[in-house]
Amino acid sequence: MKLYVNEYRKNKRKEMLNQSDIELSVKAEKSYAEKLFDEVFPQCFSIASRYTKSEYQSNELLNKALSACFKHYTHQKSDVFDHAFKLVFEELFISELTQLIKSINNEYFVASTVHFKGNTNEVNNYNLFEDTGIIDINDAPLEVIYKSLQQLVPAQRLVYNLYVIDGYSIEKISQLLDSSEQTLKSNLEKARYNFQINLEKNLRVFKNGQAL
Amino acid sequence: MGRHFNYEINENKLKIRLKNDLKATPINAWRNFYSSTTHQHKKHTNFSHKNNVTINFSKKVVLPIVFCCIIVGFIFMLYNFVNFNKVLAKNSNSLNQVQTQTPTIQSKTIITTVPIKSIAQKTDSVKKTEALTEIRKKEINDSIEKTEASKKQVSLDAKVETAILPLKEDTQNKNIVTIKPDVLYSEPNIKSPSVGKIALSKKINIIETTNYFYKVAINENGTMLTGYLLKTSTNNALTTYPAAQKSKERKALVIEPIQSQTIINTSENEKEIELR
Repeated sequence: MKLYVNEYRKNKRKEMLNQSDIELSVKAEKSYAEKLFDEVFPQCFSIASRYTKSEYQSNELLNKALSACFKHYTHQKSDVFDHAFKLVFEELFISELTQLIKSINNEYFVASTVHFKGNTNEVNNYNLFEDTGIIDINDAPLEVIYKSLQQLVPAQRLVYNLYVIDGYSIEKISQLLDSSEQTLKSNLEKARYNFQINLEKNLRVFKNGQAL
Repeated sequence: MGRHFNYEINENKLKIRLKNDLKATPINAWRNFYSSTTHQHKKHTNFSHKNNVTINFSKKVVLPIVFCCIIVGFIFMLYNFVNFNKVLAKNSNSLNQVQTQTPTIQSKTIITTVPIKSIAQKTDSVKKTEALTEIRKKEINDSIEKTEASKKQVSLDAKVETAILPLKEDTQNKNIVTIKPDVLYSEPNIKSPSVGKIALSKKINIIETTNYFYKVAINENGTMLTGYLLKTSTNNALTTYPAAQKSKERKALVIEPIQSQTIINTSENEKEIELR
């Protein structure tokens, strides 16, 4: 009986020691993670706000994607966060974020059709003193651009962000989103059209001083 | 997007603008992130013990099982529809009937079922069964003989009946008296040639009877005459004639022709209708 009791006590002590080691390591990890978080967060936050439909969703998915990315860097202790590291981390973050967006089935698999409303019957207005409504899209404020990107359907939004802004190739996007190149191209076309329309609409609203 | 659509956005410019845009970190960003991650970790730790056993069912496994269940269920349903129990019960009933009908089989079964303790008992039982079988054989033979005899009797009766058929018990060897003088026919037919004549109020013995005639034998002047006499010329009250099936002569219905009144005006006063 005595032997058993001694063994039990020894095991307990070992467990206690192990627990303390874990706590220390967690603290160390926490400090590293905090540093990494501070370095990466602004870039990731802008990416998340582009890829998601709203601010709430961006915050939610940002935390999830970051925690998933941090798992890859738990054993890395170097405090050097150079440009190359940031690029690698960004790629990792984008892949995690796309997977998370794709996992929301009720949002991602939404069919979107584009009905072109041409201005064939419009009569050109040549009055120089009247407001023509022509907007310079390229000088649009960032707030409006983010909003018009968020208004896109997830499939189109992802393709537009990945191809146009992040510079991914179609092949890479097809591997990432697990869809054919043809669908991606069609989605990209639709996204371009819808984005311009959204941008025009949002700019008009912004110009009139209304809330977006 | 059609030839009317002009894509006016400079993508390179947009790319540079969005890439260079770095949002400022909020004050509570790390705390929120840390709390959310720890909360998730706690959730995982709480359910870690329960989620140790994870059984992954692939479609390849699940679908065949489901189909098999459906097929088995369908077969069971059909089995219930057919209901073999009734058929078995019917068969058992018929078997019981057969057993009751055949006593020899029963005796055999008794022999097999009853335990025999000694050889003496065995021999006794064998003797008994032999005796029983002999008795039954005799009974069967008797019954066969009886049936054969009855068959013979039946055949004889049939022959007798066929022979005596024209004679009736009432009229056999009965004397009758003629009411009026008549002719004896050689055959039971009026058109047949006459054998002789019978005087009025003469007693005659009937040999046979037919529907309309009596076969009679008369002794006239020492010679025996046999012939057929009409029943109408005798006083026999028993004579019954079959109801003469007189075919009713149906008169054909004569339909009188209806004389239609055809009035043809041939007067010249009426003018012909002009077609306009």
